[in-house]
Amino acid sequence: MMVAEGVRSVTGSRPQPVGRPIVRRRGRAWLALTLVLVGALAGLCLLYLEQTSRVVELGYELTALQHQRDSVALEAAALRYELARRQSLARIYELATREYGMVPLRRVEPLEVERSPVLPTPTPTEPPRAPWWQRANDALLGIGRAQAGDEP
Amino acid sequence: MNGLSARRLRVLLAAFVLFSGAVSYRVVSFAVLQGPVLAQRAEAFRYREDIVPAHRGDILDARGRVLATDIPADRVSAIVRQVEDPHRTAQLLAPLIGRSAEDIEAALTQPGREWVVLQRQLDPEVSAQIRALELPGIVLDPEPKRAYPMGDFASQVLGFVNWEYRGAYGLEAAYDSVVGGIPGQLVGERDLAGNVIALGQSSWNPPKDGATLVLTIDSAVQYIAESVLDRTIQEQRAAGGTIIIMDVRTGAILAMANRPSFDPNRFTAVSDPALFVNPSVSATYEPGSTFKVITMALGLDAGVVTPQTVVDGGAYRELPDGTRIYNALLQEFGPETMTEVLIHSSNVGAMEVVDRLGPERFYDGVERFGFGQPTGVDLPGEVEGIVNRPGTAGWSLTTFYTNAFGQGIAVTPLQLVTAVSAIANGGVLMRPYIVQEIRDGQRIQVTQPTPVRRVIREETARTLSEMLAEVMDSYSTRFRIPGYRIAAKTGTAEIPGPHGYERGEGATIASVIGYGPVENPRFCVLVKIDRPKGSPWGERAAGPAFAEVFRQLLLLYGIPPSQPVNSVTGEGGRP
Repeated sequence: MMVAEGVRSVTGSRPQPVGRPIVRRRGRAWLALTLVLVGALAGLCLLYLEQTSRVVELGYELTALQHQRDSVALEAAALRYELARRQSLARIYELATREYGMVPLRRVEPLEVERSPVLPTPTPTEPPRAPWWQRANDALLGIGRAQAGDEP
Repeated sequence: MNGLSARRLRVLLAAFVLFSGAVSYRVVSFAVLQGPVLAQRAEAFRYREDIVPAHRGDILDARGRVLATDIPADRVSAIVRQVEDPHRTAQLLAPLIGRSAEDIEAALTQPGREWVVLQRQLDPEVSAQIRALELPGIVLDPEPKRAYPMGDFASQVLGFVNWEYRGAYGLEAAYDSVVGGIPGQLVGERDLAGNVIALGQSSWNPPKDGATLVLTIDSAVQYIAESVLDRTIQEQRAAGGTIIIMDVRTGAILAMANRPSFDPNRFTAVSDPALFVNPSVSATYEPGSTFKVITMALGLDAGVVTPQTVVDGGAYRELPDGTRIYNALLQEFGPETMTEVLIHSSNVGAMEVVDRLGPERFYDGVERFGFGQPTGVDLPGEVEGIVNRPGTAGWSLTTFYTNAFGQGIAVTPLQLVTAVSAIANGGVLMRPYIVQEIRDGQRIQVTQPTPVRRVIREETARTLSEMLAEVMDSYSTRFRIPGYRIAAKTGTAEIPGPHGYERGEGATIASVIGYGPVENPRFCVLVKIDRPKGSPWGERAAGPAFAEVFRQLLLLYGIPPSQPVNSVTGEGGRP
């Protein structure tokens, strides 16, 4: 066994440990793959976190907007109420009589107006008819002719 | 040394066992003993359910004016344990929320209370002032408030909304399910601040807002009716009154004014809840001589009398049992035609008509006109009135004859207007209504006029209209409507009390009912003045108001006069 250790191989090449480079290569590949997977997973996690926080943020924004919409709707209702209050007939009467010096209606004079005589409806006249040869020519060549009607 | 270590170890072991036991006990206590309760509490905290109130629909008049709407308001509450200085808090809040400081302090120091509502429906200005105070433990929550921009305008028709935000009286109550909407529900997982977490589990059942009601009430007509009624009540020193204006062709109610009334914005300030009730449909009265219109319609329709039929208009009619029923003021008219019976408002003449009709035909006709039964109007609390038919406990020969001139019979103002409108409408009774449209989003439901039945022949209606126009002409010294032919009849009814009819000042109900223009009737107007002290008579107490309402109405709708007239002179008062 001792002798054999110092003997070169007949081929002259150094003895190589059987299968080790393959294992190393495979190990590196696995490491790379693991790193890629971990990286991808981390990326996905980050993406998920980003999306989640964005959705939550949007949710809060939505709630805030809903509140704003509600308050605007209520404000519009308040304005509508104020408008209606100001349109109150009792208030208009007070304004008209006190501020603008108007007085209630005291005298109404109906006026007879003669209705203008109804004009006779004009009898529709027959439009001039084109001669037969022109109608045939128009039909063959696809010519259409416009005609002024009663309506504007 | 070994002994010491062993002892230490035993002490440590004992301490460890004790600690482990304590922890285990807490774990078992939380997880097993209190588990379900705590889980439920946590669940309730995380998944809180919020009721989202629906917006109540508006109520508009026929011209689109807002009569009732929602406005923003706030509810102020206190988280009792967070209130640092109840005395100071109460002092600061008292002038703002309209409660005494003592009252508020008592509420804030109630033992065992975590939460207390201090005031509701605060105006936005008050809310802003409270917010500026930054009082610890005092919170403001938005809540809708029902508001009536025109105050007491048509208040008994509209009704109001109570603290629970449900319709309590009037249209608010009758159409509560339509106007009120359906509240929504939000169940969601929440953060500590109570906000719904967007990614959490949640369910959202949105509220359905209430529909908008469009009424047949025309605010311009209602304003005329209320103004004239107020002025007449003041002039006559009356207890109250009612004016109803109806479109005779459809049964649509254009105005329904009642006094006394109330402001629905401040319904809590009303001490007598009877004010909330609409007397036009919920209170009955004996109509008196205005009921002779119905008696005459039945007599003419049955053919037992004509406008020219002459009866002996003595001062009284004596019944077989010796009872004498007199004309008003014991007047004796001598021979009178049926038209004159109406002009004189002769009780004896009216009794002659029912005598010729007989009880069966008379009461059949009265019921055909809709008396003794609800009209079917879309207002709550309608009563049917009292019509005693032969064979019932309240009937006697005396009531039969007094019914002829509107005593011993009880009707609602709306029943009378609906019945007389039927005559104006050529004999067809229409179902009265007050809601013209229900606008629910894109869906619009329009109320169509509903004929109930024919009550008299068209010819009879025309004849009676001519007779009543003559009656109206006979009032010309008291009230008139120049240029127009109006059919009308006055009434002065006695008020029954526990010991017979009341006597003395303010013991009558003065009224006028009529319609016009006779050529093409559009409106039926009832003016009823309760307990007038200026004059007890319908002609004097209610007549001028009737004429004023009609004049304004005809001008408002631009109906030209049918008779030559130089000018139509107004009273010069408020419309």
